[in-house]
Amino acid sequence: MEISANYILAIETSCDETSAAVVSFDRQIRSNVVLSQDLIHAPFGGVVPELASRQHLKTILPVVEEALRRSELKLQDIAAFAVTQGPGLIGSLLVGVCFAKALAYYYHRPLIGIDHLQAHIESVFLSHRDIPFPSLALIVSGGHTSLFYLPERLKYRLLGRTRDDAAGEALDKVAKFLGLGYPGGPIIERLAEGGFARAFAFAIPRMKDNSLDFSFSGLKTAALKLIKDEEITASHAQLKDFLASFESAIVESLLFNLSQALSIYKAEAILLCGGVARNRRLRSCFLELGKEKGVKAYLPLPEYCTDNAAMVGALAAEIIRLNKPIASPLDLDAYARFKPD
Amino acid sequence: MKILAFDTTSPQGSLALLEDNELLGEITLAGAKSPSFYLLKSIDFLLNLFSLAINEIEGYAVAAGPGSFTGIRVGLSSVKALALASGRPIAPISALKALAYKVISTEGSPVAVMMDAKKGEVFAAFFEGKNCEELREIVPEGAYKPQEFLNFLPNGKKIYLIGSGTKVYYQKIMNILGERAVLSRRSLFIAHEIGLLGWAVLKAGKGQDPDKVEPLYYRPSQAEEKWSSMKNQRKNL
Repeated sequence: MEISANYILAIETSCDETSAAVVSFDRQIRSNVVLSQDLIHAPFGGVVPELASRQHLKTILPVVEEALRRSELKLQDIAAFAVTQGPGLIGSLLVGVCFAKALAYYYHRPLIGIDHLQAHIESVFLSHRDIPFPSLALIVSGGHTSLFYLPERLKYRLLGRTRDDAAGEALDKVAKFLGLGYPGGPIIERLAEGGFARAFAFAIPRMKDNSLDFSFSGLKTAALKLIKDEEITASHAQLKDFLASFESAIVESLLFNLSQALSIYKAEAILLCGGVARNRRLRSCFLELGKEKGVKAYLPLPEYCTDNAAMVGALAAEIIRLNKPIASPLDLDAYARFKPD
Repeated sequence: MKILAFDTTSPQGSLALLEDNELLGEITLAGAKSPSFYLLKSIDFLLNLFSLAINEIEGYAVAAGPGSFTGIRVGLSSVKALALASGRPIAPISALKALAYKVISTEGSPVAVMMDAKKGEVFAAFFEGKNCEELREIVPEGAYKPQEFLNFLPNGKKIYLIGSGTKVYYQKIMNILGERAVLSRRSLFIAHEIGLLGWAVLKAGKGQDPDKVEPLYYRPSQAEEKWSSMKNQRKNL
């Protein structure tokens, strides 16, 4: 079982999962513990930042201990630490950042600050070793919807991001409005199964300025208006068709931008990641787009789509392997939105 | 016993290094950049001045709240990791108690501590006593409407007051306590007092393991408040 003498302990607390993983320098995942807070936020139909932060403080220590226990390693065996710095909920991020900083400081080990979106992209590389460059990566989750151009390994150029709601957020809000439960994405997916996706017409948003940014608040508002006008409820006869139509509109809108980007940028491959990348409709349409455009299409394993520390550790391993500069643990701080230069 | 004490629960952040109950060094920071940024940097600076390494610290004392929710978590998440790594105990100390002790040890007793909690409330408590072993909580720690808290204070005696809430609610204090109110002249930096109160806890062998240390929020999150008021409204229908 001994693969490498060098291990990274990675911590991820950017939103509502507390996660810790032990990953070797050669990217073997020794453990990946993810504690979800879904049940805590369910009554509110969305993540409540203060509740998320309080829960992280309760769970950070047991989650780290469990990741170490499953890896059969001790803290003093850890050669480097990694932590999600942002973007995310600042109060949540700080719990992980402070914990990781203190550990790295205590053991005089490097601490690698990881960008959450780059970590999501890394989740695709966990199961695919030979992804060609340049490629395009689409990140879709409850908190983020962003499109990146990847010219080479560990190089990221933002092409577009959502100007309002994230795609997953729009799904959550419609589910909340119908009283279907939280998180909305998986519930809508289940209830939409077998529905007729053209039963309800949604106008797919287009940016007027040729930008590759996304917008989902228009789709969400249109959905809420339809719910009122057509008196759609959780027990409505056409609920299945309505949800299939809405889900399909979200997918179409996401992939429209990816397809636009493919016609502008020369890319060998497309990548899809983030929590919503678990959605089967999105996965299959994404793979179809790859075929249609003649590019390779890559997806992460479903368990690495939602937030997890394994992808954080894997990216840290790559940063170490490629000798990228690593700042002192003492200088590292969390950021809510974008990596400060 | 070398004790590292810190408080990140308010804009008046501070750290102290103690040998038992003897203060060796202290750093105080008013309105500095986020505590997550300054805390470890300051710990490192302070330890370096004494040529100490972090693994030579034998016990931790930390302000566990009340105060800024984020500030509380910065302190507690950091101390939990340090204690997990070192196996050393933690003495979590109330910031209200530390402020009271600051006045009691220099100016006098009894002390009303009023920390501005925003939204028209104060985190407050009323203490009597002579030293850190004998600090009695007469009005228990919690979140209060300032008026309600002030009305709980005993009649007839001179009362010392400290905390950010004494500025915000100065007029209310004067209206209710009048000449009995003595505003403390001490600063709001409490790491030294956290260290002294922490020393008493650690000396008695009552330091805690990191998984036992709990924050003192004294207030549910806004969402929980809204949720429970919604539930109550439904009940009333």
